[in-house]
Amino acid sequence: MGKTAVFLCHCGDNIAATVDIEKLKKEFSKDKNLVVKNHMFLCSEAGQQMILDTLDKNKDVDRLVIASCSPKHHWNIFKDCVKQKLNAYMFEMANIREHCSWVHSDREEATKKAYSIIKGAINKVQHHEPIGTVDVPVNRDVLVIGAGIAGMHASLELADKGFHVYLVEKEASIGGNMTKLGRTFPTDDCSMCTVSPIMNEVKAHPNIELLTLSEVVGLSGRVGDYNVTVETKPRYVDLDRCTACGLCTEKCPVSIPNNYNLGLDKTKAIHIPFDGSVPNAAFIEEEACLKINKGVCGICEKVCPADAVDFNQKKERRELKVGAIVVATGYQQTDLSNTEYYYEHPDVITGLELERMIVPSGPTGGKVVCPSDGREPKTITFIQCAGSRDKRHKEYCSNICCMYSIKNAKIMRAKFPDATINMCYIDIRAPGRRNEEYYALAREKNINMIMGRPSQIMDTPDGRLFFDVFDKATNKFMRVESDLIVLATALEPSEGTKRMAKVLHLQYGLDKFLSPLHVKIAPVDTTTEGIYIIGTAEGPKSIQDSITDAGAAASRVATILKDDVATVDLTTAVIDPDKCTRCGLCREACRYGAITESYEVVDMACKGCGKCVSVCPEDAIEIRHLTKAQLRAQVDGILEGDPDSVIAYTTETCGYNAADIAGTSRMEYPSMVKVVKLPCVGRLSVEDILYPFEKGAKGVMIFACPKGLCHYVDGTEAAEEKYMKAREILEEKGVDVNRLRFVEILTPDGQKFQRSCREMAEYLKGVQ
Amino acid sequence: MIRKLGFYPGCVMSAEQYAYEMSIREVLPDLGVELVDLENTSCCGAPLRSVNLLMQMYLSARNIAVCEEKGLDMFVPCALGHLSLVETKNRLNNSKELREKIVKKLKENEGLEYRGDLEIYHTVDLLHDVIGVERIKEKVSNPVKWKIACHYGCHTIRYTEAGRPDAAEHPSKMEEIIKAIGGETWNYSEKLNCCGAPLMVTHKEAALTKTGEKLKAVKDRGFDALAIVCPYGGRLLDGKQEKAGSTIGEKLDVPVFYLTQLVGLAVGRNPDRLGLNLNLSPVDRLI
Amino acid sequence: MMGLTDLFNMSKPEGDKQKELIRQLAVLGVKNPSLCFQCAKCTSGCEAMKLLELQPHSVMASVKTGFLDEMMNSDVIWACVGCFKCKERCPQEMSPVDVMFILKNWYVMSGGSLPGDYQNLLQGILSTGYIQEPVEVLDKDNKGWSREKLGLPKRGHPKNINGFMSALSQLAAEKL
Ligand SMILES: Cc1cc2nc3c(=O)[nH]c(=O)nc-3n(C[C@H](O)[C@H](O)[C@H](O)COP(=O)(O)OP(=O)(O)OC[C@H]3O[C@@H](n4cnc5c(N)ncnc54)[C@H](O)[C@@H]3O)c2cc1C
Ligand code: SF4
Ligand code: SF4
Ligand code: SF4
Ligand code: SF4
Repeated sequence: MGKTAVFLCHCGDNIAATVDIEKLKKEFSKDKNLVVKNHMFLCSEAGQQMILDTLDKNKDVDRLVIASCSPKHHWNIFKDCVKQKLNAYMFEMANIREHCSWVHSDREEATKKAYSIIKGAINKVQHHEPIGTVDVPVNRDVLVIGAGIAGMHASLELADKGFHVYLVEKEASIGGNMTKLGRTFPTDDCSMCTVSPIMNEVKAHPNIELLTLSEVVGLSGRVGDYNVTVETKPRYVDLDRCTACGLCTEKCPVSIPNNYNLGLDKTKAIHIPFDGSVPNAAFIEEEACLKINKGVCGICEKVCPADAVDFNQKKERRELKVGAIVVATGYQQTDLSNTEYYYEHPDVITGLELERMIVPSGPTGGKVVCPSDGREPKTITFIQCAGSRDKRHKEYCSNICCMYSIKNAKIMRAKFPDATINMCYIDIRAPGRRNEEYYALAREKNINMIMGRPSQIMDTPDGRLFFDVFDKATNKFMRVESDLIVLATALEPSEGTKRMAKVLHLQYGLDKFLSPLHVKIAPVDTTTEGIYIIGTAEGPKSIQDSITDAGAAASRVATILKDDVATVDLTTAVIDPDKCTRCGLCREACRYGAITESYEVVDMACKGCGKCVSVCPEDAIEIRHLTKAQLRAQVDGILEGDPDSVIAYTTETCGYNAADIAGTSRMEYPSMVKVVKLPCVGRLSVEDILYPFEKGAKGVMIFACPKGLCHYVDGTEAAEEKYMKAREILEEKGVDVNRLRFVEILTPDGQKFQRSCREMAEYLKGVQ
Repeated sequence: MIRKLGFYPGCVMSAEQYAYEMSIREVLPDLGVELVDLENTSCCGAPLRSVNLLMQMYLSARNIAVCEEKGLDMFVPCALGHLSLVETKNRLNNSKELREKIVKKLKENEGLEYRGDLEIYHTVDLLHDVIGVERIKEKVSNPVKWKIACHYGCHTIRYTEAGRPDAAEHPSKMEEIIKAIGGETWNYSEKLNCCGAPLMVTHKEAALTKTGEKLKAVKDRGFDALAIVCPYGGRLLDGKQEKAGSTIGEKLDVPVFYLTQLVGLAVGRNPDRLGLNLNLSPVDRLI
Repeated sequence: MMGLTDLFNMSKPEGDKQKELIRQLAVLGVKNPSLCFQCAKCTSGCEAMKLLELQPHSVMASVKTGFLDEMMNSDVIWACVGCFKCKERCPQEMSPVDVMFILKNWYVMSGGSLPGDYQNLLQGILSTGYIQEPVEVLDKDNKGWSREKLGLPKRGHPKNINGFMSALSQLAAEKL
């Protein structure tokens, strides 16, 4: 075996300010088997060149360690660099920034920890072997989920580029929330006039296959080769026959609240979603129909002149094969009914309800009225941030409600020149090009801007709405009476978005919006290659920003699917036939059916989670990217560097990300905790869990993705089982079981990571 | 018997709001709750928050310890007292520092052992959650068919973090009980407004103004009566109605009942034992 | 100290007191006032605003910037009813009511005289354990009723009244 090169990065002073790089260099240089170099910015071109030069000059170096930032950040950069000289897997990254310099302030302590982390990496890399690649065919069809403005725009972009697109929409019509809006900022043109042509274009495009009343219920495979299960609800109306004459609606005896109009008016159990819906055909709301639920009626079937009503339609499932997926499942308004924002009075409405009244084809024919009695409002009050910027409900700013309330205030002024219009706000948020100017136009319209947040809405015995508010601008405590109160209700991810997070195993934030791979530099990518998130499923945003997302995602899809074949790394399992006794345990453990009856691993099916490894009693199966020898060597190295360490096994996703977030948020925790990254905690065998204890570690922590959110189906459950076994064994041996901990953690929860580490250290201090 | 509870009297109920205490003692045993009087009790400390929070917490903690001595969970009919006790219990659980300080003082000075792991009930959750609306409904023989407004009082519902008998913003348990005993009730805007009682210590006129405004609202909303669950509130809403009326320049004559009195009437308890003669508001008008 | 000066009375922020306040709030499990973003929702709903002009949001603003003395010695914080609405509804999970409790405690500790009936309440507790002793109440017919006449049992009282009093007087001198 050759020598190992160790590269230490200063990262400006991000690392060097807390970690004594010179000292590390001196220490590691003592080992004659190591070639040690440092650089101000290893990721820079000059830094990479230094790596390449070092490899050129030292022909006996055959593997390397890069001690720098998180691999989540720059792994690909360094991999591409190393690839030029060696196999791409002959290096290991030691994260001494997020996991060290950013979470410790004591220089000596941080340097000691960095030494231990790097030592672990050096030891581990000694066991690295080259990992090969394989070419796989790429499926160039694309799935877009959700047909709001974002999903439609992405579909059209992709279809125009020549990709075949499946567009899956859960409602009976495409169009999403934009079909409900009146006019839209910043141009104030009519929303339906903008979106209607787009809907028709989607329908007419030969490359787009539309599936309405449909949802994705299952996903397997990988980028270039996804298998998606889509479930379609029966429409009970034949799309090819229905002429949208509306006769069925006229005759149907069952009246129901019209969801499209947010319950502001009624419709029938069978109805056309809305004027200009696509497809423009009737459908039956299953829950309301007498025929479906009670076997009576069936009037619509009888009156339909086109013979389109079809009660024989059944729920259907379809498998789709696609290469990439775009998620555009949008937002909804938050239900505030258990909060003080809500007041039981028909004239307290949400922004979206006002939009419905503004639309000429809406429930009131474009007349803005008080829903209680249909009178024209003389005073209209907008209350901003209803449920937003509120730690008890939605901590975030909903981003667009300042702008749309300003828009609607202007529209109200145009409709009612003599009305009193008030707006209660904390501060008006109108950043972005032309938005402040838009706000300025509104300020000319004689709108009372009240700088204060009301506490609660009330009404007088005869039903007149009012609230009290302290206006910080005038320093006055005021009673504001209103005919109509419009809440700028907080936005949240739609139920459909939340469901997709589960089905597609997507990461989401504490706010429940889907999380991009990197908020700044990979805003539409996700942690799963080949799945993209756009529009308001990712966060509250305007139409403009949703469209920008859609274009970006279409471009990302085109890049990733540009070739018919893709080269993938064989980061998969491999069986040693000499050791294997064909006991079947690995086959049982694998959730992907990747191990054949003849005990060979199907590389295309294997996801590399390593669950098989954790159950094999003969040590006959390994995953190439984290062998038993590598894992143990890393633990040994860490403990050599700092015998008082707690080994924190983390999943590559949630666990490691949470530790990184603790780092980027500078949440200090005790330096005894050292992270060891696994593809999934399912990889851990009972022996792996106990190993650090044998070697004298102070403790072991296992940071798993929460159950149900495991990226490999049930790795968390598998690991928990092993953890329980390991506890029993510790107990038998008389070792304090509290030194072993199992923590379920989500990506954004850096705080939980910090807290868990602190609690562990605190406990260990107590028992010493 | 479904529950045996230590009965904590508090200052105001046991010193003057006898109607509440009478009706509690008359009604709860009939509904399956046995009340055990505690001997070593004192003020809960709530009135002293502004003066000294440590004293407040000491007083609350000592009453908890007194009840724990008997191995019983606790019933605190006063909303202020209930909040103070529950809050103190939480605070001592969350801060080692505080807990050590108070526990030590309790032990050293009064020989009291504090554990802080008992349940503490107020009238609203005792009736609604422990006894249960169904059980009350079954017992009703003499439905009170009036239109009754509910007044929870600030401390019955706030603050959520402390864990309260009902929701802070849209509480509904009193309403459910009122409906179960035959009454009619509905939400009104001023439902969550303060009765002003705590202000009596420093700002009497403001306190009475608040009482007056609250009662006026109840009257204007078309209710026949007001139901309350806090003796602090009772002292003003029932006891000082005339004064409150003259403070805001209104004639006020709203019959005010303790919820337990209404339940007692509905389940057919002896009216003489419900303390109805002690209500100063015109309750006779309805009975 | 450099930094801010109130140009009306030339006072300066009191950093140490502010730190102490934050510490005491933490002991109570209450968050640091610095998160307050001055939305004035607390004041909008304050039960003591209309009648007594209490503005919890400006108490919070003063405390945030460190002008504590002025607030501690002002009458207006004694107007707080203690309804906990501000704490309940604050979108930033702040607690003006608890901030004011501590400021009032400090005022008392610093020797300020107790307003209103507080002296009586305190006296009552120190001597009998309760803020008031059971009285004979009058019914509408002016007939007097005591606990005894109503058949109500004697109420409990601190058995070891000396220990009770000494605990309270020790605490009166201690820091939260
Ligand atoms: C009151 C109000 C006024 C507004 N005014 C303006 C304005 O003036 N200007 C402006 O720029 N923006 C405005 N907006 C914002 C605008 O509505 C959004 O930016 C835009 O609609 C976002 O589009 P989207 O495609 O991301 O999401 P959506 O419109 O929510 O579309 C999501 C689609 O996905 C579907 N779906 C959801 N879950 C699933 C699932 N699991 N499977 C399949 N399909 C699913 C939904 O049915 C829907 O069709 C306003 C918002 C509100 C609330
Ligand atoms: S069968 Fe169903 S949808 Fe058709 S008319 Fe009857 S109730 Fe309406
Ligand atoms: S956009 Fe405006 S109204 Fe909406 S949450 Fe943000 S600040 Fe509040
Ligand atoms: S304390 Fe809370 S409610 Fe009051 S101004 Fe500050 S943030 Fe707003
Ligand atoms: S607790 Fe005090 S400050 Fe807070 S709202 Fe009530 S009266 Fe106002």
